[in-house]
Amino acid sequence: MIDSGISGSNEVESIQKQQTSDEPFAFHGKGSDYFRIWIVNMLFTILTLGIYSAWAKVRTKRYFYGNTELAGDRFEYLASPIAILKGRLIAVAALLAYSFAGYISVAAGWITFALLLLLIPVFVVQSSRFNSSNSAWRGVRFGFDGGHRQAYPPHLFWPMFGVATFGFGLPFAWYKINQFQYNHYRFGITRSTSSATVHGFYGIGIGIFVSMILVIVLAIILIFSIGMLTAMIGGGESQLSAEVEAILVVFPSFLFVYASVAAIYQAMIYKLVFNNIEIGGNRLRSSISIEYVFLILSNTFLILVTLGFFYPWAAVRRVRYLMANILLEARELDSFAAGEFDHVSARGEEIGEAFDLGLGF
Amino acid sequence: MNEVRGTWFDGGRSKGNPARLRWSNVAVALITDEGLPVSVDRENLQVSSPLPGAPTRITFGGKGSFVTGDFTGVEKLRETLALNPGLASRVERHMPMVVAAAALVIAMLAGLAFWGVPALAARLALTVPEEISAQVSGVLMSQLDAFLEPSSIAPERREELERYFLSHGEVATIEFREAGIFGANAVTLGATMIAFSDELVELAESDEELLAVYFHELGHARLRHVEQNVFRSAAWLVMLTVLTGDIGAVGELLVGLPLSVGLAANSREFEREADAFAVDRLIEADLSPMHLATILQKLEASHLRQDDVEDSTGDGDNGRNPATDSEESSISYSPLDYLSSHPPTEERVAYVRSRMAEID
Ligand SMILES: [Zn+2]
Repeated sequence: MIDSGISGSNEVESIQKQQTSDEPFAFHGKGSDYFRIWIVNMLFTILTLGIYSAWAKVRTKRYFYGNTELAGDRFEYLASPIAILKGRLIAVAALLAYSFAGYISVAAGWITFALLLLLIPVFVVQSSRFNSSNSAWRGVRFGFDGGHRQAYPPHLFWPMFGVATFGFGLPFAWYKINQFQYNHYRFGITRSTSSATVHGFYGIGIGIFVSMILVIVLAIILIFSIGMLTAMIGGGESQLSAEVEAILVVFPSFLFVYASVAAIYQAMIYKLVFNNIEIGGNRLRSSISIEYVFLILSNTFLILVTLGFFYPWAAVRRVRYLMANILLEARELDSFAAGEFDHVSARGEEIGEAFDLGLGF
Repeated sequence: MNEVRGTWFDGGRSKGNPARLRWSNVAVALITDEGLPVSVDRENLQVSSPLPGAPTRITFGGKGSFVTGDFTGVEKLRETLALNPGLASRVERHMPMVVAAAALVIAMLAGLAFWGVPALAARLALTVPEEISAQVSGVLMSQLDAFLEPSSIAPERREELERYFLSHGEVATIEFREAGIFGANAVTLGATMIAFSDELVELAESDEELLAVYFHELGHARLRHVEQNVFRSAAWLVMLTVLTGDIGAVGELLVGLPLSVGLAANSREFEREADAFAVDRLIEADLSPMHLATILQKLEASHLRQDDVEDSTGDGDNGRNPATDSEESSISYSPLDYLSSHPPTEERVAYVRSRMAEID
């Protein structure tokens, strides 16, 4: 099972090194604690007309990283708020340019759109570099070595190919993205590798397609049965019942379909990606299951009925579940060496964030 | 001499060394359990701001870091060295302040939504020069033209209507188009352009009814409603991006819903303003405001008829492109109507009647 990745040491040592121990991840955050951080972040952000949002982001990430434990030690988030603020200002400028260009002339609208599309791979690489080099564990930073030019096929060409083939090529694009991302992350100077296969991603494609149909059928049944029920109670044809119907049936059904499919997709992607990552002889193992989908659905429901105020508890529940279901088959965790630490601008990350390109790691 | 226990990471290798940080009023020292003293520069000492549950990270300007979960110990260190834990941390720890923060956030978000953003948009809309407005109108018209046919109304009739309209109020351009499935409609495309569909011209039984529609559109144009909508959606976009930066997809969807309902509500308010403008102008021109009510009812009836053949067309369009201000009247009793951009026709007719009553 374990390949002979390590050589050049004596027999006793190599036998010791081949024994793996299961090191679980654990998340210690609490919804009530995160609520305090979240609401104060929100307040300061509004009071400073958005400037504080960079500090808010660092505080949030520090809270989540600092409460995530692996093998007895916590993760660290080390980004500077000023770097994030710079990126955020550029992102807002780009966002405004994007939303006004289309009104000035049709050509200007298309040119801005094309330009942003062409820059996506650059943003993705910058974002991966920034996020990883500002994440650390046991005092050693992560990193990302993917180049801008290498990012174009997986992050631009193959996704476009996927869309052009009416979705049939999309799993291949996911595979290419996975190959690019998870073969270029590193911890210290040790590169991660991914052994996920293209078959795995096509399995997810089929899974998503089937579950999408199931969820839509379920939603339609739900709408009909609720419609029947309200008709029986005697909602009749009044204006009020139409509004109630919109608020209570149509929007929740749409949200239900959207959240379910998104959660199923995430669960399958996480599982495939995590189960195939290896770094310095240590492998990740994930036991994420359908429970994750129920968790996301209940989170969504609770966020909705509390008008957003459940969000901090929802975020904590989600991360706690994910961390409780990831395990590191550790072989050797003490000898990772730190690399030359490179300063990266925050631009890519924050612009990427503004255009919703979030890549979860 | 005080001390906290923790782990020293040298920043070179992923192995922690159990260690103690000791300090007094004058000196700070770090000693690992293996007895190795680490050189510590008090000048560059930095202590991370406290976060519940997360360990504190103490650095000394170099690559290494000392990490400890001993909160009370770190509090003492902060005291001795007079280190500020930061304003955020102080507010977070104080429950009444957290409650006040929540109340303030709700109040300020509501204030921004109902007052701040509209007021800012109205201000900015007035600063847009006419040339830019005309440019925007041209773009919007060319986008609409993809779905429309050239007008089949005789040029003489069009010129007659144009002269009639312009004699009651100036606008740079009046356009006519055959709208096909979109039916009877009129749109304002910025401060300088108003477009009528052939179907609307045919639907009206008198030129006064068309003038009533023209006045309504002129209201949109003069009050810069299109420009206001462009600025409102841009302001919302920026606000949401800044506020929900960390929320994630489902959160954005949830925040996006009030946004679209809010934009629709904004346009309902614009419709009322334009109706009021039209009634004022009709009275000024010694015409009955009822012309507006009549044409609104005819519009509704025509769209109800059309609905039997075609699915409703206008509503979805409004969400996607908030800039165009289409005059499709709303049809009651459809669930989507709640999110529609126009107040129900009944309500608009009732308003015209109330103004009539004022005159009598
Ligand atoms: Zn209108």
